[in-house]
Amino acid sequence: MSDLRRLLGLYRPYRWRMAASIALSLAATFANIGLLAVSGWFIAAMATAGLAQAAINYFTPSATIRLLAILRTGGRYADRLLSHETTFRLLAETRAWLFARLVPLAPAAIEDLRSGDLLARLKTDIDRLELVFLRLIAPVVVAAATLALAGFVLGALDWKLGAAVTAAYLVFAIAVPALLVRRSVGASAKIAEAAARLRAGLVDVVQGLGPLLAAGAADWRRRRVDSEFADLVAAERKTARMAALGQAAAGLAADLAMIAALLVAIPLVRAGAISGPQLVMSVLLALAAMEAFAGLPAAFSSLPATLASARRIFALADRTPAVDDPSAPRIAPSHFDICFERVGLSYRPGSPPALVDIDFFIPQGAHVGVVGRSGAGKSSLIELLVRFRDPTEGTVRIGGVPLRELAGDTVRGLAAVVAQRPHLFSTTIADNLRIAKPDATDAQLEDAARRAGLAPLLARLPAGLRTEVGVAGQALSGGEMRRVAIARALLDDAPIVVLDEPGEGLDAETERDVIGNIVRECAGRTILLLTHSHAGLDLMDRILRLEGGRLASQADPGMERKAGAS
Amino acid sequence: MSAAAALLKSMGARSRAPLGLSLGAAAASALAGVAFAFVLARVVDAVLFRRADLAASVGALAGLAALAALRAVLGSLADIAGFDAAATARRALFERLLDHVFALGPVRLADVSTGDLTATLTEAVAAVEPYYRRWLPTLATVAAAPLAILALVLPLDWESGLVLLGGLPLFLLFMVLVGKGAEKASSAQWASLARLGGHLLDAVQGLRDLKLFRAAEREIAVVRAMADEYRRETMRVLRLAFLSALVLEFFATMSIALIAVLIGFRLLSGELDFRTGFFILLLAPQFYGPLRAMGAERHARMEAVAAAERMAALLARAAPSAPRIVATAKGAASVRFENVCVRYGEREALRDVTLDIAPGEHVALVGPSGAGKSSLFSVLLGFVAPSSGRVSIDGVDLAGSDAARPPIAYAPQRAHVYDDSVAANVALGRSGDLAAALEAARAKTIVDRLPNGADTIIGESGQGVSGGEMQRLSIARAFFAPAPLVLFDEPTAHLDADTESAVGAAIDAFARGRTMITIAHRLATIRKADRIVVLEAGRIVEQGGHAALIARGGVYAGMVAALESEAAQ
Repeated sequence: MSDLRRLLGLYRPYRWRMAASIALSLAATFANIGLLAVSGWFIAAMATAGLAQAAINYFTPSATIRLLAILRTGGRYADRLLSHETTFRLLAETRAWLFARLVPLAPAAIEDLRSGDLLARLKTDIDRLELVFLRLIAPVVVAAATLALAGFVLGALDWKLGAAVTAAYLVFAIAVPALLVRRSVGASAKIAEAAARLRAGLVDVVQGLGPLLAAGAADWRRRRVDSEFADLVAAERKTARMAALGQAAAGLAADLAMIAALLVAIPLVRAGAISGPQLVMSVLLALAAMEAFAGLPAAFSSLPATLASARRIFALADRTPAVDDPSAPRIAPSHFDICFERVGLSYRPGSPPALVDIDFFIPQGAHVGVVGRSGAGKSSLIELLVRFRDPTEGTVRIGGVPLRELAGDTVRGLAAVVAQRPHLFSTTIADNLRIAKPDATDAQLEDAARRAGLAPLLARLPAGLRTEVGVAGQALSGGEMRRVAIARALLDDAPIVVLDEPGEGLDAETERDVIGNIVRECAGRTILLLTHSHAGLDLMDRILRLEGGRLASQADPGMERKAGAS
Repeated sequence: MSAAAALLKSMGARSRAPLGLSLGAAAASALAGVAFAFVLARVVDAVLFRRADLAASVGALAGLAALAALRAVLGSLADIAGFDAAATARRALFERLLDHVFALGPVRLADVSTGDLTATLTEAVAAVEPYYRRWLPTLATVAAAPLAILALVLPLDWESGLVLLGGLPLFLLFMVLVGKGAEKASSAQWASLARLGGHLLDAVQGLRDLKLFRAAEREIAVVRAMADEYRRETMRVLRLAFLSALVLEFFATMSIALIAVLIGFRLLSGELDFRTGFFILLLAPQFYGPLRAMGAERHARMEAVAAAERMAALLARAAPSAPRIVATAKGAASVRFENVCVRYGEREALRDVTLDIAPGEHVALVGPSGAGKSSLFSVLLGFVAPSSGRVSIDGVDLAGSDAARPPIAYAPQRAHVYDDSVAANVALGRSGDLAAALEAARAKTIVDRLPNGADTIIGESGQGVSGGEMQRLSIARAFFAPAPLVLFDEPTAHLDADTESAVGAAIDAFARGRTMITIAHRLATIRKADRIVVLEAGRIVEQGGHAALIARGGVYAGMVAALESEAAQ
C-alpha cells in the first residue's frame, strides 16, 4: 500500500486539475442518470395524464431533458480532455524525472541492469501509470458518488428501494469483481516483469544478431524470446479472464438492480406508496447508474500490474549512487598533478579487490603509459580517475585536491577520455562530436575530425560530418568509430587526456599516427595511455605496469620495450 | 487495401474460431438486450396500467433474470474469446516480425535504432490487441443490434423509427470526416513513440559517455523535450478521438431526448400506448450504444492501423532468403567472389571484387579502415547481398532459392555477450566440447575465476569480464563448433601480448586444414597468411605473398615499412 501512497504522491502537483476532472466526470455521469430517469418519469407521467385526460406541465421536464443532454455530452468531453492532459503531463514529467535519477546512478550503480530493462522502466512501466488516475482514482470516486446519489434519491422514495439498488451494485459491480481479481493478482503483478524481460531479451537479440546468424544459432535465442512472449501473454490472459468475468458481473449488476427495483417497487405502487411514473424513474435510474461502474473491474484487475510497475520505477529511483557529490564541493584545482595514495578498490564487499595499494604520482604535463594484461586493473584506474567510483581505500587527488571533495562533473571536466568501448549515438557524426563541446563550430569539428584521422572517411561521404552513423555506429567500421571517439576527446579542452586502448580497430600505422597526433596536439597536457600493445609507448615519459591489481613496476619506456620484446 | 489493413486482416484469419465466437457472442448479447427491454416494458406496463401485482409479475421477472444471466455469460464469453483471438494474432505477428528481423540480419537493420525495433516488436504488437478484442466485436454488434432495433421500431412507431434512421447518415459522415485527420495524427504519434523509444535506449546505453563529457544534464533536457513531444502527439490523437466521441454522443443523446419528448406527447394525446412507448425509449440507448462504442473504439482501430503500418514497413524491407546452413564433411571450403559490388545507399563498399580462395588457404585482408574488409565478411555471412556479381562457397551460390553455405566460425571485432551463462554464451545452443573450446581460447582462467564457473551469468555489457576476456569468449564461441570456413576480424585486438601469442597459436592450430580469412592489422598475423589481399576504397589493389608484395614496393610495402619502423623502436 505504501507504493500506492507514494504513487499518489506523484499526483500532488496536479490535485486541482484532478479535482476539476472528477467534478466534470460526476456532472456528466449524473446528467446521464438524470436524463434517463427524467425521460422515464416523463413518458410514464404523460401516459398516465393522457389516460386520465388530466393537464400536465410538460415544459419543465422536456427542457430538463434537453439541458441534461447538453450537460452530459459537454461534461464528458471536457472531463476526457482534462483528465488525459493531466495524466500525460504527469507521465512525461515522470519519464524525465526517472531519467534524471539515472544520471547520478550511472554507470556503477546500475551496471547489473540490462539496458532493455532500463528502457522498459522508462517506457512501459511509466506508461502503465496512466491507468492510476484515468482508470482507478476517478472511476472509484465517481462510482462511490453515484452509489450515494442512487441510494439518496431512491431512498427518498422508500428506503427499501434505495437499499435494493445500491446492494445490487455493491455486490455485483464491486465485491464480485474485486473477489475475482484476487485470483489474478499474482498473474497481473507478473505482467510488468514479463514485459521487461521480453524487451530486454529483444534488445539482446537485436544487438547480438551477427554472431547468432553466423553460427546458425538463431533458434537458440528465438526460443527464449518466444517463451518470454508466451509468459507475458499467459499472465495477461489470466488477468483478462478475471477482468472479463468481473465485467460480466458488473453488467449483471445493472440488470439485477432493475429487477430488484421492480421487486421492491411493484408492491409499493400497489400500496400507493409511490406513483407509477416514480417506479419507471427508479428502474431507469438503476439502469443508468451502470455507466459509473463499467470501468471498475478492468481497473481492479490492472491494479497489481500498475503497482508492480510503480515498484520497478521506485526501486530504480531509490538506488544509491556509487559516489556522492559533496554537499559543498570545492572548485576545480588550478594545477593537475595526479596522485594515487595507497589506493585500493573492491567492486563489491567481499569480492577480490580490483586494485591493491596503488601509489604513484604523475606531474602535470607528463605522458604516462599504463600497461598490463586484460583484467589487470587498467580500466579500474580510469573509473577512479573520472570518479565513477570512489576508492575503497586510500585517496586519489588531482592538483592536491581529493576527488571526493569535488563534484563529479568537475572531476570529469579535468579529463577527456577515449573510452575502450565508446558509445556512438544514432545521430550524425557532427552531433556525436558535439557531445564533447555543444557550441563547437563546424570548422572546429572538421579540425578535430582531421586530427583524429577521419579526413579520408569524410572525403568519401557525400554528407560529410552530417552523415548518420547508424545504430551504435554500425554504418562505420570499427576503426572509423574509434576515430570519431578520438575526435570527440580532442574537442574537449581538458588538461588530462586518457586513451583507453586507442589502437583497437586501427591498423598499426594508423594507431601510431593517431597517438602521435594526440601527443603533438596535447603538448603540455597530461596524457595517460592505457594499452596492452606497445604502439605509442615510445612517446611516453614513463610506464606503469599493473599486474593482478598491483603496481608491478614503474619504468622508463626503454626498459619496458626490452621487457615486452623478451 | 493498405498494407497495414491487409496485415491486420491476414493475422485475424489465424484466429478465425475465437474471433467468430467473440463476434457471435457480442452480437447475441446485444440481441438479448433487446429481449430484456421487451420483457421489461411489458412488466412495467402491466403494473402501471393493468394493475398487475408482484405475484402476477414474478414469472416475467424470472424471465428478466434469466436474460440477465444469459447476457452476462455471452458478454464474458465475447471478451474472453476476443482476448484469445487477439493473443493468437499477436503471437502470429510477433513471430513473423522476429522471423523477418533474423532474415534481415544486422547490416540491413543498421539504420533502425534498437529501441525503435523493439518498440515495433513489443508496443506495436500489443497495440493491435484492441482491434481484435474490441473493435471487431463492436462492429459485429453494430451490424446486429441497430438493424434489429430499426426493424422492430419502424413498424411499431414510424416517427421514432425515422428519428433513429435519420441519425445514421450523420453518424457515418462524421466518422469518415474525423477519421481522415485522426489517421494522420495516429501515424505521427507512432513515429514519435518510436523516436522516444530509440532515443531512450541510446541514451541509457551511452550514459557513461554522456557523463564523461558532462553532457548528461543536456541529455535530461532532451529526454524531457522528447517525452513532451510524445505527450503532445498523443493528445493530438486523443483530442480528435474525443471530439468525434463528443459529436457522436451529442447526436445520440439528442435523439434519445427527442424520442422521449415525441413519445411523451403522443402518449398524452393517446396516439401511442405506454408499453410500446416505453419499449422504444429503452431501445433508443441500445440503438446508439454500439454506434457510440464504434466512435470510441475507432481510436483503438486507428492505433492498431498505425502500429500495423510500422510493422508492415519493417516487413516490407527486402530480405533475400538467407542461405541454408548445411553441415559438410569437408574440412575446408573454397570461396569465390566474381565481380562483386556492394552498395550501402550512396556508398560503394566493394567495387568489382574478384577473388578465388582455395580450400585450406589462409588469407589476410589488409587495408585502411573503410576499405571494404568488413563488407567482404558481411557478404560471406549473408548479411548483405551484392548489388552485382556472384559469391559462392564450395561452388554453391549464396544468393537464390537454392542458396546454401557451410557453418562459418566467426569472431567479430567487438564481441557481443548475451545475457546468459558463460557456457551458453560459448555454445549458443549448439552441441560441442565446451572445456576444449575454453581451453583453446585461453578462456579457462576466466571461468575458474568466476563464482559459479561456466554457469555464471554474465550481463549485456559483460559484467565481471573485461574487454579482452569478452574477446576470448567470442573466440571460444568460434572454436566451439567445427566449420570449414573461419572468418576472424582482428581476433586478438584486445589481448595483451602474452595472451595474444597464446591465442594466436590456438587460432593457428584451429585453422589448420580449414579455410581462414582474417582481417588483420598486426604484422605477425598478416605474415602468417598464405596470401595477403590489400583493399583500398572497395577494390583489391594488390595481392600475393608477403615477400612478393614487399618486392613490388606498392601500398603493402609502404604499410609494412611503417609497421616495421614501429617494431624497431
